[in-house]
Amino acid sequence: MAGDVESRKSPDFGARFLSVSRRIGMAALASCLAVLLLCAGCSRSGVPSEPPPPKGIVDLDESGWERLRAQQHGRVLLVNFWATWCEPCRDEFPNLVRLHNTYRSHGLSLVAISMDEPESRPAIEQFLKSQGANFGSYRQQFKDFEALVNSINPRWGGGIPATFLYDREGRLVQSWQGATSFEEFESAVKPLLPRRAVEKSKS
Amino acid sequence: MSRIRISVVCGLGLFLLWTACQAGDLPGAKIKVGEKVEDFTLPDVNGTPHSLYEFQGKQAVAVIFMATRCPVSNGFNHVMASLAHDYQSRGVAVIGINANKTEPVSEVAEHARAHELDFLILKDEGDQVADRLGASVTPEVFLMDSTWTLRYHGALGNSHQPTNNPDKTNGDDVRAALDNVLAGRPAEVAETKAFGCSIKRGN
Repeated sequence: MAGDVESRKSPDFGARFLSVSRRIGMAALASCLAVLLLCAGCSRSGVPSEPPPPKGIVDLDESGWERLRAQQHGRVLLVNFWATWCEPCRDEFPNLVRLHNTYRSHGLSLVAISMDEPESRPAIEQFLKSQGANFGSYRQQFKDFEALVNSINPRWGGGIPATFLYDREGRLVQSWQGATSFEEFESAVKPLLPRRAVEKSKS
Repeated sequence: MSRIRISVVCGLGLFLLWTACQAGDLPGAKIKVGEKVEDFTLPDVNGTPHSLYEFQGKQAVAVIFMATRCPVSNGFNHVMASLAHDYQSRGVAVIGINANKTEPVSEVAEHARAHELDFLILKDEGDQVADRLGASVTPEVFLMDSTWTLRYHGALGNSHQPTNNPDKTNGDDVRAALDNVLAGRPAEVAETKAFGCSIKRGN
């Protein structure tokens, strides 16, 4: 009853309260919808899903490299340059496969670019299969390798294995030349992944 | 007060980010084209010490970091041999340096014999010269003129289209630089990327 008296006493306040709360509700609903729409192509961790890797080994030139980088926008990207004849590259490869398997659902993409000659295509395929690699695999066919190396990192001497880590905005964060351990890769990759995704993996 | 604290925290954050970025980069070459290469002494495959400045009076000296097991370096064996042979009469000395901890001196000697590498080869056991010059790859060349000034640094050849196939390798990059040095002209291209295997350092 007292409430009735109150509301009767100040009808404006009640109406204003209702309209404010309705507005807040509407805004919240709109925000949720926007987030849902934005994340239509996102995985549950809030990052875009990994673009499906191309089938087989794709020859990669300069424009292909640019496309590849653009496709991975929003995800952390690790790019590895290797060759079947390169022993440290082969030693390092299981670390990359493990890293990809551990963090791909949390926003990490991996791309391997082979420096092999065209006739080594069967050897590349065989090696990737033996490693259980399920990420994008390419063979370099850059028109100007030197220019590409400089565009990636002018300090890269051209030695392989070489691995480059890009953050979710596509900025180069770290470079390695020489075989690198899983732990070293992991400690550089983890801070770049969305925190929610990594925490989820812990639980 | 809180504004100051925020600025300090932001500043610290940026500094940490900057140091992290620095730590994540590659070492790069220590010596730059135009700088003087200081003398060094290393043993040859028989243990006899040789100094760089022993070659005083030469028109140019090409120091090539090479390997016994790297397929790229091996793809360039004939290029190194012909370079030493073709330019000997023009006052050019070629010196090979093996700085790979994984390749013992006996292997270096045997490799030179087997591939008819008829020039002085030194063993850089502790990577002191590789570190001083900032060599990172095999094969990688440092070309000096008669005053020990670095005039060219990088690939022997194929810098635009890297390969380890001996049928395709050439010495175009270093030969162009050498011809300019011998003619008293600055090298048109003083730096290229030396694609190859990372030097296996002892540390």
